[in-house]
Amino acid sequence: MPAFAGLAQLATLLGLTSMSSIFAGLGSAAEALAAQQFALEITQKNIANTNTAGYTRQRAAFTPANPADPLDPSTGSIAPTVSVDSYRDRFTEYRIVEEAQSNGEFEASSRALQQVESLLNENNSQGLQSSLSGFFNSFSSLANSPEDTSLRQQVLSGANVLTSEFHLLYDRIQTIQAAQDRAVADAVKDINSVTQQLAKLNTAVAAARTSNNGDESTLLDQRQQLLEKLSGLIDISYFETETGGLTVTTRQGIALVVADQNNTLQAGPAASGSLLRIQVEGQDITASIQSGSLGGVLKMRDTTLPGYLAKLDELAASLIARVNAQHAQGSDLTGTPGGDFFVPFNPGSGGSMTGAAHAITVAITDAGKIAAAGLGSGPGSNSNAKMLAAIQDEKFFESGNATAEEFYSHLIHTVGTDMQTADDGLTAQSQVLTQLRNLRDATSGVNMDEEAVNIIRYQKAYEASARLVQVWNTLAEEVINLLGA
Amino acid sequence: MMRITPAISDRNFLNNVETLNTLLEDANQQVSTGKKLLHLQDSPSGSAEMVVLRDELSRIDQYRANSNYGNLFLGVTDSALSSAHDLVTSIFTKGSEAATGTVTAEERETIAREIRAMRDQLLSIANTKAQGRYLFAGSKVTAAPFTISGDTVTYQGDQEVNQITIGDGVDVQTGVAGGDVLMPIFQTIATLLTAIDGNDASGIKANLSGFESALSGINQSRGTVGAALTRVQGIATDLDSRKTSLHSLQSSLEDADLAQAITKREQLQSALEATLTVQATTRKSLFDYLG
Repeated sequence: MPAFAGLAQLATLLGLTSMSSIFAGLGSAAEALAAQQFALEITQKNIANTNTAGYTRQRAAFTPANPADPLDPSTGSIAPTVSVDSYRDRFTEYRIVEEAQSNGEFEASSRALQQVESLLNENNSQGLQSSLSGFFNSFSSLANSPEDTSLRQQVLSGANVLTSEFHLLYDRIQTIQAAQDRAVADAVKDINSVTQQLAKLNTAVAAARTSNNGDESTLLDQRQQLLEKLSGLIDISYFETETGGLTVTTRQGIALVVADQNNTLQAGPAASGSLLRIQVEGQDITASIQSGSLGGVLKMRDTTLPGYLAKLDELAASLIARVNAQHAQGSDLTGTPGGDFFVPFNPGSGGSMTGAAHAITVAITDAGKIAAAGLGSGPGSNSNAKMLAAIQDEKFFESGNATAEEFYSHLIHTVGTDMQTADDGLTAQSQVLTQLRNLRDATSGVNMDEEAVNIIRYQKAYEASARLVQVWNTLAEEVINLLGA
Repeated sequence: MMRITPAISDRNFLNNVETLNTLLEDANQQVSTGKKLLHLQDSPSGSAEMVVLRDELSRIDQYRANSNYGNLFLGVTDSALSSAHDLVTSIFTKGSEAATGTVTAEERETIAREIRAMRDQLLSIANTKAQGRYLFAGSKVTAAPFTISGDTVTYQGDQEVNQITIGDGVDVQTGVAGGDVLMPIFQTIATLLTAIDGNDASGIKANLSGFESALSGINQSRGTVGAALTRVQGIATDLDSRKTSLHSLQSSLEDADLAQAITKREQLQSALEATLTVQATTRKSLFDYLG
């Protein structure tokens, strides 16, 4: 413009006041060209990012020009100023972060429970249920002909099938539990990586805001993506400071990200071989993590799976004790009173039955030692075998309310219900998330028709502005020719 | 009106396809396995009920197997007692012959030989085995319970009679106390033989009255065994019909309604195809029409 301005001054000197508006018009037309070009560039960016997850569409915001000072027509411009607007839906973004937590939690529990379910599902295979039935039935068979060696052998093999089913189930659930423990370590790594990136973004957002270079929207998009990821991992709270920085804390208020710093979570066992505990700044926060995939994994590892294991332990420990007690009431083939049928389980401190299902072992190897006969009776007596078989009808679980099979069926019910809760929760939650993402996209997503319309619109405006440049140029030339004449 | 973007359409499309595929997979599995209870979460209470039901069914099978044993032992016992009854009757007849005053000493000797032969037969019946166990031995089933030395029969068994379980809370005895039933007979025969050997007609006569109570003891035992047999056979019928009803309960819990499952599968298949077709044909933007 300075060149035009000089010409304009010359024109003014020459008393050609209209000359200034010619050059101003030329200048304005050039600015209009730049404005349309800028708008086209934004459109291009939108189109380029159609498939970028979390991208928030941008718009050229045309602001009407400052009018010229009536006393000094050389000031001001008629061309608009252009800035970038983002169609950000902050409320929906916040809701997405909120809902991602339970989604992560249900996903984690559903994954773990699916594995347990396939272990307990006896629709097509043998399992603990059928081996329990088989075990008691073998005593019932033995009662038919208690001196029969092959029937005695069947009792032993039935008992061994039962113990190996206990071991299989118990050990596999423990394996799943150990996998949860590894998932804890992975989640902690992921969380640390995300909080580190968020801390870096805080610095970048502040810089972009200061320089107003148009990068802020993209950075905020990245930040939102990271927040969604973080929230899927662990339950968090967050807020934005006045300078645009993000502060992230756990639900209990322990800071994870403040300004350009992040607090690293540490995952380590309290003692060698024990399960991982999560610490931040020396404080154990394991119990406070309730949601996100880490919350889900912890719930599985520390509550749900140990609950199943405890049920198996109770079942095994009670069986060992009850069968051994009854076994001692009879005598074996040689007339000797029955010894331990199962290797006795010694409860831990406070009567803890932990590990009983893992430990349960048949003590007898010689089938002749099975005490089928009544005390002091001959080898053909079956009274104790009958009593042993009848244990299956005894309600010695759940304070005298359930037989062994019923007790086990309650475990099946619990697992089924847990699985159902996780599945239904996951389905509902992913629907909620889909709706929210659609809602967000309704505001922030790129729509091709709109972009096409905008291209046409900006192109037309550009063409018109270019035409004006041409017109003003002709006019100016005319004036100059006039001067030269 | 909601502003729709390609991302929204894609997301909805993928969601729909995923949902349809999940449902279709379920329907496919129902059709191919014939079961509707595929996972515990399909019905936690149904799955728990199935545990108890399967246990009950396997128990019924066990009761059925037990009743087969019962049937066998009681059947063999019954026919042994029946043979014993016949033999004792014959011995009694021979004894009555020997009691007649016109019978000579030589004839009495012959009768004694015949009676001893029948007594030995009775002894072998008293030591009847089934499934390797001596049926009249009480709990001492591994050794022959009745041994003989001279004319003296000794009982080595005991009085224990096994009960087996053939139904929930239904026990049935599988035999009789062999010593109690058969020993009086052997004793009666032994004294009869002593009298015959002594050619003592009045002694023989006096002895014959002992057979009455011996025979009635056998009959009583046969009555007991027969009643037990009837019970076992009745229970077996009960078990079979209970098994049928449990099977139908099991089937209602876990079996898929095949016609319904197939129809559902067809519907889902069409829905999936329609969804895919729609997705493949729509989705144009203004750009497609700009020159």
